[in-house]
Amino acid sequence: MKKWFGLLTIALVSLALVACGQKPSGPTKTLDELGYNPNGLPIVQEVVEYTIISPKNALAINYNDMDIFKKMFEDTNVKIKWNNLSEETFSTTKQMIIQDTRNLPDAMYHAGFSDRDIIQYSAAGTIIALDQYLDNMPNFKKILEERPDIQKVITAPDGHIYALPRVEEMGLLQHPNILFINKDWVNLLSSQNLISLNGQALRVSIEGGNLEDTSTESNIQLKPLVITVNDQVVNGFTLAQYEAILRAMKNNASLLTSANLIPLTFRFGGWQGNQSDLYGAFGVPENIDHLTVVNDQVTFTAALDKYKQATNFFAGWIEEGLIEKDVLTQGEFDLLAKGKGSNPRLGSFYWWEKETVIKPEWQSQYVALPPLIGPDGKQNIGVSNNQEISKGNFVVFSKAQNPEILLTWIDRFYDPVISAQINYGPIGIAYEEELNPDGLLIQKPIPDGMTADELRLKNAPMGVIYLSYEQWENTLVMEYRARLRLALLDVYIKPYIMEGVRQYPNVSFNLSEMNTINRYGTDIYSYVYQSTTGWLLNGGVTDSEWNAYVSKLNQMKLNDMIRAYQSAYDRYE
Amino acid sequence: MVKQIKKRHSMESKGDQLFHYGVIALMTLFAILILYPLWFMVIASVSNPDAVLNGEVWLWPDTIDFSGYAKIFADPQIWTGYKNTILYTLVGTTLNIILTIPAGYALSRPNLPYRKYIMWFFIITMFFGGGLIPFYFLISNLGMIDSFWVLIIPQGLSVWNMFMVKAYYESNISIELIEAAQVDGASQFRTFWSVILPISKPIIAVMILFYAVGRWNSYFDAMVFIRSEELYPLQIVLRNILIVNDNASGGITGEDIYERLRLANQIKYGVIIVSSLPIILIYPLVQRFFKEGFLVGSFK
Repeated sequence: MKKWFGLLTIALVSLALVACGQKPSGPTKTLDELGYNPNGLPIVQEVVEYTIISPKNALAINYNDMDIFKKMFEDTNVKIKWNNLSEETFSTTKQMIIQDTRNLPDAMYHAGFSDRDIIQYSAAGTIIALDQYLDNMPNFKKILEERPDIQKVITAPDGHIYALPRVEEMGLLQHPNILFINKDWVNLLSSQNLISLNGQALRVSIEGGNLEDTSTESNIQLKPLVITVNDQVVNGFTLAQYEAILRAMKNNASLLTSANLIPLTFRFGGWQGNQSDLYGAFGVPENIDHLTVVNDQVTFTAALDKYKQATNFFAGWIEEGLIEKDVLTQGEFDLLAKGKGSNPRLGSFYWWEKETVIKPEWQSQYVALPPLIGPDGKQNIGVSNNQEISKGNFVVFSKAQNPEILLTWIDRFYDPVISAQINYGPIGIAYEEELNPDGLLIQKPIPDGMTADELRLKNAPMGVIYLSYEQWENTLVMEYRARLRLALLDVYIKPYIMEGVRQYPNVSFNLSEMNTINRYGTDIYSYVYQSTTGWLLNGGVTDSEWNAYVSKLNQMKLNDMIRAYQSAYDRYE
Repeated sequence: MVKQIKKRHSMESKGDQLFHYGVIALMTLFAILILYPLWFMVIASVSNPDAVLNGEVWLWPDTIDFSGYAKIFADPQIWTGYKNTILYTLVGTTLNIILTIPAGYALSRPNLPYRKYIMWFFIITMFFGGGLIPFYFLISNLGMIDSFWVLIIPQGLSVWNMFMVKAYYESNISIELIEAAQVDGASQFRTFWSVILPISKPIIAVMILFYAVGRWNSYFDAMVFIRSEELYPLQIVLRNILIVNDNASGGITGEDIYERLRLANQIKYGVIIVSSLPIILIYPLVQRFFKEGFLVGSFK
């Protein structure tokens, strides 16, 4: 009886071993035999095939069917077998796919490799260093020569480059918040003397701010915004004046709208439309990471004394209902839906842009406001840490044969005209076949029944591109809404960035820094989040609570974490 | 009926009556607690999604608007998913039954050789598993990633269900019955086929229900192993529609998020109704077997 089991076990084990021993390998042709040419088309004379695995957006068509890739195959003779998976499947199985070394593809697109992934898999020999092939990548080589800052960002601590970046520089991401207000309501309340500050009626008017009548698609012109308080032109509202306006909205809601009015809303900790600029009014260079660089010093904002003041102040607004309590819990959709009921509900709000939030017919009622004037009489805001250069978008696995060919193929993505098509959709679908008078690619009108995003997501793979600031002048026309937002940022945001404040750059961490940040960061951030939201909901923080909070943060090795960020920053500089 | 109840009431003491009404009130409350979410789903599926989100809909729909359903029925992916789920459920449940019922029967017979070892072999799998990563490598090396069979074969047998079948046979089949069949000259297979199976209807029905519901609702294996959209089961299609915040492969702007979330919210409730209807409809059909056999069989 036992013999049987023994035999069976041996049989199974040996079967498994036999199966492991097999490895298919065909004869490899050399580059010369294939007719490889890194600097012209086609890249190879004979068709070469590679398998690339990539997640894709649920709305996108299969990459094998995308026009842009078909065209690239015709031009290059490099055939790519795309293996698409949904984003959810990809994020669940990514590590398994990479570790399943026997069934690896040749490369991974939209790879989303973190610094840790790169260190781990380069050490294991799973991914190859790409800097040794720079001569096979003329476009990429040129970018690195022109932009040492990009080279700095993507170079791993061991001095090699393992993954290709995505660069899309529009100057929008650094500032994800703009404050909008319903100016019609403000003017109406003021005309009826309903806004009062310290017992006295406050006369307020907001004029202009929207588009000029002469503004066109290609030439955006904003009407200057004129704010007056008690008939004096001012640069912006002080916190006290703004509070008086919000209170007036709340107390006279039935006069303004039949819906349930919300004086001020945003998303606490959301990537766009968050609380940062409110804290900015108190002189805190805030962003949602509570981490920023002030005069080359990495600064943790949530431990600053001004952070306590700001939290106490805004807790009062929440208590009074001037800021709705939902700001702590609502999702993006909840906020967006609030702007689109049967009647306007929002008095003011922070968001990326008003077009997304407010119904088209109410657009003209809402205008952007400059930052609020803080207790020290200054208008200040911080900078977010959103990056325009993202690392780790494309990696090549060591099993790829003749990686030179694959890399020359992917290098074409950095050609500005192809970058534009990768990012927005191919010529003929997203772009007109003919260039505009300035020699730029110009977007086709969107087909009926489709939104701009739908068209783009369906036809553009996105991912590895290089669209730097100069490309908007030399290669393609920026989308209208992006240009509109840039115009707003120029007026309402950029002049008010705190002096000496810059975003924490896209540095490469070494292993010990990474370990420190991972070990302490999670606890610190969840403690800061819990404390801050608790104080905001419960009317504020006492001095003794604050002192206990700061000493707890120190116990949690906040300083070690900041030091790790600082040393990576210093190395980067 | 009503009369009878009234009559009975009149014979009860005041306290009993009060108790009676208390129970009815309590049960009505429970029924409302259970029914209201279902009702809400129905009214929300025909209302304007913005109104639902702004809390304007709670008892009656604000409009009767079937555009959500129109979108569901116009979406080819949902139909493919529906077809696939039906296929996965039919083929999968058939395989489950083919494996579970004979295995449960065999294990219920005391004269099965090595019975104890086989039992342990199964029981171990109930307590220890390799985990997802080795499982993924196994499937990958079997070449089953992104194939129809990956959702059928690895889930072929649930040990828990097999033991339930075993318990059913142990308590419902007497040894005399099998001996009688053998006296008549039936082989083991013949005994199982002609004698045992005909009296196993309750347990088969229960197993079909358990397996079919499990198969219908399962999504995790499909999420990990299925890559082609043509092979997606319904649950994955729904997840892709409803969960839109993950955008690793790029650039959704606010407006599109809103449009997609709006769409998701509009069809969410309709989709829940459409996708759970078949399973809800199976229950009444198999319910009588629950009463007759299942509980009696295994837990007597």
